[in-house]
Amino acid sequence: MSLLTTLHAARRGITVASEGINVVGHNTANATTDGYSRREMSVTTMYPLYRNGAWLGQGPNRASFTRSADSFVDQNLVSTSGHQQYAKETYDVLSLIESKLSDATPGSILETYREFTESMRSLTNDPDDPNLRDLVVMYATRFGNSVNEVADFAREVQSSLRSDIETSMEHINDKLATVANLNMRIMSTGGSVSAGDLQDQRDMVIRELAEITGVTVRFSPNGQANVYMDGHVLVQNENHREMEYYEDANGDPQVAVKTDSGRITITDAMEGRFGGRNNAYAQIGDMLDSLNDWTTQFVSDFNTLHQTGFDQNGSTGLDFFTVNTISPASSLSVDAGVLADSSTIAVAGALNATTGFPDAGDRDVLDLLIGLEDSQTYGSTGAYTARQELSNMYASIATQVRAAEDNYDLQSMRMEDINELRASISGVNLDEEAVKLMEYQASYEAASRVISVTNRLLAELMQVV
Amino acid sequence: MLVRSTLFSRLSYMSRENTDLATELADVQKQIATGKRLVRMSDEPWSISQVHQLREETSVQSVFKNSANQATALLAQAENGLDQSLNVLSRLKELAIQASNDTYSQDDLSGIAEEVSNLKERLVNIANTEFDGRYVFAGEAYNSVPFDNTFAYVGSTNEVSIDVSAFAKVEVGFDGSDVFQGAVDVFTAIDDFITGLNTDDSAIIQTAITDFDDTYSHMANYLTRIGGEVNIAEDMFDTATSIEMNLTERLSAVEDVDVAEALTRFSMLQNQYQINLQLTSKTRGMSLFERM
Repeated sequence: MSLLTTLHAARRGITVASEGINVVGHNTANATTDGYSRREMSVTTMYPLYRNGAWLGQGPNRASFTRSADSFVDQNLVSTSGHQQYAKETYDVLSLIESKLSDATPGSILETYREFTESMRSLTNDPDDPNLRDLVVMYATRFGNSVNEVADFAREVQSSLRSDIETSMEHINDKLATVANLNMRIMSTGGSVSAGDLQDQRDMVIRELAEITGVTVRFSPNGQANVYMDGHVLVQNENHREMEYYEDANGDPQVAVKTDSGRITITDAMEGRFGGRNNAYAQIGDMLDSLNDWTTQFVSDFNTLHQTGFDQNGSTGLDFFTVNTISPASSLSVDAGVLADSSTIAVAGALNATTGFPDAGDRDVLDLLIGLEDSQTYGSTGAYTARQELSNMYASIATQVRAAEDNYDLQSMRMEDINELRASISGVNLDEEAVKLMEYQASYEAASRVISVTNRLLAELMQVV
Repeated sequence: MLVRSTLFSRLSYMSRENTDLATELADVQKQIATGKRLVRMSDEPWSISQVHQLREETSVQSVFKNSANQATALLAQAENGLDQSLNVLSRLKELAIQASNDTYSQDDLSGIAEEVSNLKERLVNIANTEFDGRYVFAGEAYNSVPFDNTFAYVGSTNEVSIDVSAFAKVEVGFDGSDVFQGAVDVFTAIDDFITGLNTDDSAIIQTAITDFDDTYSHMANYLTRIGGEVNIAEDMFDTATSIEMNLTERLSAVEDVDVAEALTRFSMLQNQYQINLQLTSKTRGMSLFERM
């Protein structure tokens, strides 16, 4: 037993205590840092010395810094945040469309359609009245405009979704490269405090990726993170693949993983914001398709009947609406002839043989046109009236919005649970840290006291010499 | 069960709860402010179809109410015209009966002939009655005078109807040729009568009496029919009004908010929110570090 050995043991005590204080400082300072995982220092004793038949203790030894994290919870956090963002984005985009359709507001398709049919009903009271005819034209124009507006708006939203996805590809690829790079640095840093910080940083990048495209992650025991998209590897250790954007034959946006042997399309497997956008894009596409079908059928039915009627000038075979076949809903408008002169609305069933014009009260074709309101020929099954089919379209968007909203609530709840679980494992509890600080402080003070006592003993020895 | 709870997870939990409460408060506030339970379509997607149907039916009732009103007005005009026509015919018949007495001199008869001629003028004015820009006895061709200056009918023989409900129609414009010339051509009858008076031909005058009688009962029939149409129009107006009220009530049951309930909920949420805010501010000081 030597005083010098005691001195060394106490010095180690001081070193370990100050490292402990350092860890407490790091933890408390990062208590609010996003994605921070609490560090713990584990301490063991130094290997003892064997002297003169006895084992001599050499004091404490800092074994390692560990990062309190549970890979299962962290992996779940990543995939759930993808689900959550998917639902949120779907909701955000579709509720835009919902408010554009807004059924009760004046100017919506449904209201303007109702006003238009009502104006035709009013015309039955006096088919000859130029003011009533002008009203029919006015309401038909309003109705056409509101159909155009919804179709244009939907298309605009679609195109902005497309360009958003396209322009974000570079950003995503940067993030993938960052993850791979951090993996490499973590591997070379070993078990220091800074390795834990790099892991935290990397995990935050992975969470961002999950929020954007909904990746999944697997952590390996050596601290490496592998990132997957729909089962395809994006990052493996220090290597990564890139994602790319392209448009398919229909002009719809597609996202793929680039590989040596070509690309693997993963569009429909995407979660996160892009998954949500892609889902909303498809829903809007469906709505546009039904609106186009509706418009085509409505215009064709209406014009076919209108062509059989006679206008006030005795002409027949006239169209009321015009529409082009490529984008019916965007192009629906009142025929230029009718727009210019409401007397060309052909509501009479026959010409008066004497005058060569229809009689003022002849509304035979008008009755048929009004009768179209009740004809159940819309929808894929042909079981709905025009108005009912419009309601179906509204209901389908509203149902999607509602589903997305409910899904978002559910995913947010799961997210809260997982976040809380993660905080319980990796979060910093200030009371705990305060207690540790007291422990390390006491240990530091005690070790310094040992040093000063040992020092005095040594000094006395020196005086004897 | 959570193993460790941290100050920050507690705080962020409180903040999430507060956000949720604030959102819910805003929703209830919006419901109270608008009076609507369904603020957006997605509040209850399954009610959309029903709400649309109710709105469509409700709004169509106001068109029917309008139509019924217009029909009643037009019919009142036709009724008025026929009433006057009947008066004219009574007077004509009276004059014919007087003239058939042999006690009148040719001068007297000529005086009667003059009055008859005036009456014919009145009758044709009635036949050309115009109301709100429409000739009531012109059938479908109601935008031009039905009887020209030769007393020939140039109107349409199709009657005009107005829809007063999805199923009921009311005739509001009549075929003048049937009304005034259906039983006997009343204008020709009057002309013959005048000739009879001027030539003091008692046979012609006798025929005139029968003609006027026939026309009178023919027009009286029309008057009865119009009375019937007026009844239909008025009934349909009442029906449309009550349907409208009924539908509005049903619509309100589906889409309007129960204000009392919403207000109670609002104050409950507000209390909860205030409690949570206090709780949040108290959570802050709970740490051992505060006591070191």
